[in-house]
Amino acid sequence: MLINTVVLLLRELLPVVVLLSLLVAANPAALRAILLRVLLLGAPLLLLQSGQYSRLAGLWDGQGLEFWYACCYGFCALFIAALLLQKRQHVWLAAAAVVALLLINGSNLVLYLFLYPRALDDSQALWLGVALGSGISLSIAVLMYHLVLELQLHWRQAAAVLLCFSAARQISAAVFILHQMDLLGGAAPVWSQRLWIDESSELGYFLNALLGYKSGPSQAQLLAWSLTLIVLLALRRKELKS
Amino acid sequence: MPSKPLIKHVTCRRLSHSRRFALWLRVSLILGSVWPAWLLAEDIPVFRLTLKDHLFSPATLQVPAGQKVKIIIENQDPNPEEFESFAMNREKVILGRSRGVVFVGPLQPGTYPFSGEYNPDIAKGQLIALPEAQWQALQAGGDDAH
Repeated sequence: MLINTVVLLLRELLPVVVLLSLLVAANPAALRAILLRVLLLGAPLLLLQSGQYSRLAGLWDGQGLEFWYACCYGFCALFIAALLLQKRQHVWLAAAAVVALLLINGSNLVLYLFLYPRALDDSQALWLGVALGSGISLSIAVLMYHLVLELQLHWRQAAAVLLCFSAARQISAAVFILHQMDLLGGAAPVWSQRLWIDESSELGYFLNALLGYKSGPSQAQLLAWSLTLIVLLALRRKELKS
Repeated sequence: MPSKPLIKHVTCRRLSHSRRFALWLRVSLILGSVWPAWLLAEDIPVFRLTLKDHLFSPATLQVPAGQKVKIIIENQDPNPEEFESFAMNREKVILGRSRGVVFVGPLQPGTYPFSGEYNPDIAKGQLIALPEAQWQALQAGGDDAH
């Protein structure tokens, strides 16, 4: 239970806090403003979504949640792209990107932590796991934030480039869900599984949260990831050269 | 005098825009009607998995390799569970006393483990993708498949 909870926390919380750290590193002055808006927007929306979980899950032959998640990933990528392509830093856009991802990953956590009946012994292990998993995830996010700030002293576009990768990750995740719903072709894997870093390892989770790493991506996932990355980097080429 | 060519130029541009829009609309309509029809036309084999007392049944599911399959997972437990398989690149939350659908493949022949993420120690199973000959033999009730 303890290890399972830590792993689940890492998987679900890490992508959200890593994205948050990148967005804050891109605009350090707006740290409080972004956090406040994520809380103001995210908490009620997550509660609302949790209340409608059964209804959502029952739609489209039991695939309603997938459809909603694919939309959330799409919105997240769209908000990140909009942020990257504007000169002004829009705090609400940054918060909306985090909230879109929070609605997906947060709902899995709500389901596991609050809607799953457990014995008392299990509950203690569960909350210890939550504390450990949250601590590890937040520590990684804080380290990422400082690392990106440090990198930006040498190369101002470091956060922006990592955000391009993050947008590509969200698109790749949306494609993954569309495969699962059988709404998109090209589901065959590009290469055999686990040739490189194991996706279910700690490093695999981190690389997935940061760059969208998959150990066995489908053809369409790899294509969508590459295209998103190339298009966003091409649109920012002037800033990258400066 | 310069006003006439200007009007003509603007009209041409408008025509060109409206033509392009009409073309885009036509292509979208054709694609929109053909794409779902193509998806519906596909004959996808359906398999069923049941989750009861955190155990998958059958624990080993045999499917044909090289083609897409539809797996209906029925969770008979009151608690939610997340069907997960890194090998198949699939994950899906299934609420208590409900069912979910996952499309998988086309898979290479081989064994693909899956588990329930909320109870990974007991909710375990594997999907075996059989080559065409073995799958046909299994369908015919032959011994080659076992």
